[in-house]
Amino acid sequence: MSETILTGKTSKKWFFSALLASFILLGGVFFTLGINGVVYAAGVGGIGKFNVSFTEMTGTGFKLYGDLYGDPSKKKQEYVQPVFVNDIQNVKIKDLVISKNVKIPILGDYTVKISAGNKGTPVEINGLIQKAALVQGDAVFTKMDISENYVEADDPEALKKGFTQGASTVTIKNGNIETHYLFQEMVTLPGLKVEFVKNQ
Amino acid sequence: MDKFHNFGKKFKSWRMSRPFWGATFSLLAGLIILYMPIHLLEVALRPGNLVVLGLLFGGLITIIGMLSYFYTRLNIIFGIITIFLSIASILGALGGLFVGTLLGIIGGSLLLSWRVVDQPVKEGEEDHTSYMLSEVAASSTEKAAE
Repeated sequence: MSETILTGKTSKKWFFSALLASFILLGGVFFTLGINGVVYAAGVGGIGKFNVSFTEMTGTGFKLYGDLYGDPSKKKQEYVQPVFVNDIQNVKIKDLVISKNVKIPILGDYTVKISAGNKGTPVEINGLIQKAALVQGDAVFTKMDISENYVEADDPEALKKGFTQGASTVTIKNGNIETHYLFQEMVTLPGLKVEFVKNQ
Repeated sequence: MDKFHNFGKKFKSWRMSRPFWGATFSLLAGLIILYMPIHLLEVALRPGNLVVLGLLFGGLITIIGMLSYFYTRLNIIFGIITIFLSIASILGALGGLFVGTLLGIIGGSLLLSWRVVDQPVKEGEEDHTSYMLSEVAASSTEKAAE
């Protein structure tokens, strides 16, 4: 009886056919998203601090409270930073720019810029949660309430519960926010543009 | 030195008997896609949230990558599912900033295009594998005879 070894080979014809079909499908998905500019469950986090800026942001159902970003269980100062949490139900943003400096090996320092809502149609977000280290801008609140609550010193949620601010509506002009993470339940990004800009 | 040489030959035989690179790329893709949903875990676990989709897709691609090392006959099905989940992960996890999506497409295509080729054993060539079909059949026959 002849003996054989079980081995395998990659069929180039099938590989390139599968690759082509996959990229056509991927292009179709991008085209569909591009028409609507709708992205679901868009979360950005775990990549370090990044900057969010805009000319005008209007939101309803605004809540602000404190929190820690990082892993408090590690108990090392470098892993934990205090942040503001902006929790807004519905937001419209004009001229949104999200940017982050990155170091690409060999090529050098670049800034990744994602911009949208700069051609008349604003960016619309439902369920925005943002953990920010710095918030700058000209803010107007309606029906604002600020409350200080009693918390136990050893309560792990002391920062969240101790001080809270809420408002029916919030308008921030010329906003600049240093963010650690950003989550949006649903976002439309009309006029979306992603670019790499070389830092001088 | 001989042990290292033998290990290298055994590893090569093991690698050649399964869609190794397809499984490896798929595994990497799954782990990259899982990266962001894991960092957003507290949000993912809230009811009505879609970040859990990123966890699901990334997790499934990772599992399929691992299973592809062992269930070689299911490579076509695994390849198709990996490609589909990698593209769908754009919606739940931004495709691991699209790097996971690209690796998943390449891994899935490699899995899909892998074909079994039986090669005859050359005379005098030492058997370094346990994957020779006749040897497995012979050993099971001997055990039955005992």
